[in-house]
Amino acid sequence: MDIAKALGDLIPSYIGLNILNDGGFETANWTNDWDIHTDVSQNNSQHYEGEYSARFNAECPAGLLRKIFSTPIFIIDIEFMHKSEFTGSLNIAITYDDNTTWNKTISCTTNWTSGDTVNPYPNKKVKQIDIVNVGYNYVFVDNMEINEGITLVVKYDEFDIKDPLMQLLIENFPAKSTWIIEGVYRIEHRVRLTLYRKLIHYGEEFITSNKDIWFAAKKMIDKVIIKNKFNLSETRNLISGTWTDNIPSIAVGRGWKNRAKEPILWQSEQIVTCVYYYNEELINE
Amino acid sequence: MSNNSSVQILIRPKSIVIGPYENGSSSYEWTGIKSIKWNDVTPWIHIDIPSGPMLHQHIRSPHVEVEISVMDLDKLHTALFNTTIDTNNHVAVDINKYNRKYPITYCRFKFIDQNGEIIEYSARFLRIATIGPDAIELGKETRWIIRATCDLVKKES
Repeated sequence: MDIAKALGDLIPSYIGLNILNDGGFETANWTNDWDIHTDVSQNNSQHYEGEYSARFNAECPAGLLRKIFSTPIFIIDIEFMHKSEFTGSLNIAITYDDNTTWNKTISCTTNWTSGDTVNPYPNKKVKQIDIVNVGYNYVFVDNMEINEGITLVVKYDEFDIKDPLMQLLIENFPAKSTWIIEGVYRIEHRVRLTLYRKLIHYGEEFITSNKDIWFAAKKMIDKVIIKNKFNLSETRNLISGTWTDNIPSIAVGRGWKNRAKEPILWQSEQIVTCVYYYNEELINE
Repeated sequence: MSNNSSVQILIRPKSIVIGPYENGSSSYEWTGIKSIKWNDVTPWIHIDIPSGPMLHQHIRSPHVEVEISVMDLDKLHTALFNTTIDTNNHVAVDINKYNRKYPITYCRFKFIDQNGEIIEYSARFLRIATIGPDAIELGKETRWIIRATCDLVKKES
């Protein structure tokens, strides 16, 4: 059973909170839709000559709390090749793992407004993304013109402890099972939650305010776990652990460097135990 | 997860529901129960006849003795001192003037089984016998023990 996923679904559904705001670096809310950003360098102009590419990066917004098991960030790379005015509309359809779909038509200019959002269900696992050009002009994806629908393969990102600035990693640990009676096993399934926080500079005020965010985040996660002792999907008992800081990371108050050029990182982890029962009708006893 | 319907294991108490009507309406769900245990008493009396046949007679009343332990004082008070438990507006333990006790008309014990299903037991005419703290001492969370008797405890679902 994927308890990590169940916990991953549970925790962010509670933490749609400002406490995880990253001190102004990102302001969107975890529970909001994912923002579409573009890092096109040439914006503000109506006409473009030649080729350039735009990278539409649909990523989990701020709070920057992210779980890698159930909601990977996906990146849509769309290349625009225009010699004339550059406007149009794209219809983006997302199919989730449970075969539900969601779609939205987004007007497509070089300046994607921050109000354009995709993916209202960040907790669901994305299976595929379909992009259809419903406007005029030309839109190319991987050098293919999309006047009809095209399916992009979702690119699941890899886990990087340094980016985003604050993240929660939820990992399944091996489960211990104990025979009870007649095909019923009691499973004690441990899950490790690791909270990472990357600091970007050493200012005293910055460190202090980040500590507040850091402790508030841990407290919030504790709260969620305690509140859901009997509520986590398919488990009978959720036993919370206690946070263990990576001593060098937090004790010095200035972060932890393991290589000269690496950013400072705070790290704290706890192991929670989920108890559930595995039931199987015995063929013979 | 598959369901092995032939096995049913209780894994924890969920609540005790008490109320004044047999149909369970206007009842109070008393949660935070630490443990429930019960045992019925033997009705048999063994009559000794020297060198004679062994006689067992069904003489004693076969009631059930119940022991409930809780920690939450607030819910304990709400349930036993403030919840109406019969149609004459009595509470289970009336300490307004004297320490008077009344049988609880509707009483259900709810448990959770290994599949997460709620299993209910009914306790017919639960009568509180004694209530008291196990011990109140520094360094230990006080556990309140409620002892009661009832006519019978029966599985309902």
